[in-house]
Amino acid sequence: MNGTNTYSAADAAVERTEVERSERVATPEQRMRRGKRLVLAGFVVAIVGMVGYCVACLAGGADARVGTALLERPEWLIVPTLGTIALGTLLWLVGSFVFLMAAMDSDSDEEINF
Amino acid sequence: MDVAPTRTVRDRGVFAAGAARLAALHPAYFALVMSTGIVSIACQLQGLEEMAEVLLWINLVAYPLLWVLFGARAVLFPRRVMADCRSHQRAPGYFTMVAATGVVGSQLVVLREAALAASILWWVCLLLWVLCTYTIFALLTVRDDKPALADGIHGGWLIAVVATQSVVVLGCAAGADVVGDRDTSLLLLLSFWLFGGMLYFWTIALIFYRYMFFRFTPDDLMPPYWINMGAMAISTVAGTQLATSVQGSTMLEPLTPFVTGLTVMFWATATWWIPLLLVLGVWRHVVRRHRVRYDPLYWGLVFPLGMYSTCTLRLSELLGAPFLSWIAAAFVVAATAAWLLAFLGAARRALELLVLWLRPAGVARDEDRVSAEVWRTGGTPG
Repeated sequence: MNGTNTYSAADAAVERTEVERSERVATPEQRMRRGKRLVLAGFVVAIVGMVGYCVACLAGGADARVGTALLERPEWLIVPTLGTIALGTLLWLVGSFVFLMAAMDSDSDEEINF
Repeated sequence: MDVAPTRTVRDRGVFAAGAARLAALHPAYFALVMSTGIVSIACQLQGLEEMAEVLLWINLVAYPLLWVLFGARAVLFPRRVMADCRSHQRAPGYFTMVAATGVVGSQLVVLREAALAASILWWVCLLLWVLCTYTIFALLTVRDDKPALADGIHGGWLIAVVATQSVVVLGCAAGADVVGDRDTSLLLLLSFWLFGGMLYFWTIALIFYRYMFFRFTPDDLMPPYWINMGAMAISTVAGTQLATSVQGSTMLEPLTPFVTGLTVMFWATATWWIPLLLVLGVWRHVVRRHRVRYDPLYWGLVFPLGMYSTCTLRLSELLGAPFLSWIAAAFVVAATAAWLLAFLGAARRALELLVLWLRPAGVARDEDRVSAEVWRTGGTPG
């Protein structure tokens, strides 16, 4: 009886460890979802950065055209918006890498659309 | 016992995949350079100088790299290359080589004022134009088993027009004295502009006929259909440059009103296409729920957007109509956003090769097995 109880306790401990490990190590499908989320975030950030950069430059140009010196080409906006584009591109690439690596381990035929 | 994958096995996998991609390399891949170049020019003209500079450097890498890849493909997979030259679907893609050369030359003039490089590239552009025009059209004409019109014609055919007009654009940008005497050069460039326009009307009549009288599925509406607009946009740019260049020429200056009038007609035609193409895009992706997946042909969508921005700005300068520059500004935003999206798609394709190299061996996908077969058979299409 005692032996059986001891075995059960050890078995339960092993089982707990397995559960903890499986919680720590994400499945390929989970990693694919994570990669997809990063790709989407990268896309949004990069496009926002690109539109912000264009608007910043074009707003300066438009002001110059109508002859107001109030707002010249807003140089201070150029670097942050270019940085945003770079950040978005990086997120996209990291997300794609995570997704593709996970896809190699998965049976799922899920794809990133673009 | 699991054996760790060796470097050799990994290399073999990535080599096979790389070979497959090289064998399947689309002849229209130079559209990447065309699009990057025209978006760079549009950015420079609108004051987006940092972006224009980045895009110039990307093109200075991509243009020679694509020549290396196309050269390697011609050596390793000659049968594939010949099959492409005889294909109504893929052969017009070779005209992107001409247009890309023209756009890179124009880019160097606009961003670097590199007149000598532009003159050299103009001669390369002219030779490629002669080679592509009289090889591809001849091969397609003498082919025995021709496809039906609905299967053979598509917007990509209009790249032949873009290639022709790119000779004019670069010729004018290089100083309009590319063959020595200015009047002779201008007459040559004017002739190119006119038969480029003629080629557009021949081809667009067939495309419009195919639109209206044949079954049309979402798969048929490939991104190069935007070249319907892009070909007219580059014709507009060429017209504005010719109208400026002929000033002072005793022989051709009297033609200025004709050139200006025809240029406005080209711009109006390009503008007419935009709402229709947008509606068809909504039908394809929203109504019929066609998935957006990266395809090199998407570069054929970026190019017209950048070209429309450039042509509208040039026309506003020619006509003295500053209100048109607002349209040009709106389109430069659309063009840069579209370029970024296409670039990210292309970068992910390149990343796939890296992942293939990193992944454990023994997980060969069907694609790799197909690539090995392509490699073995020397690239004969199935």
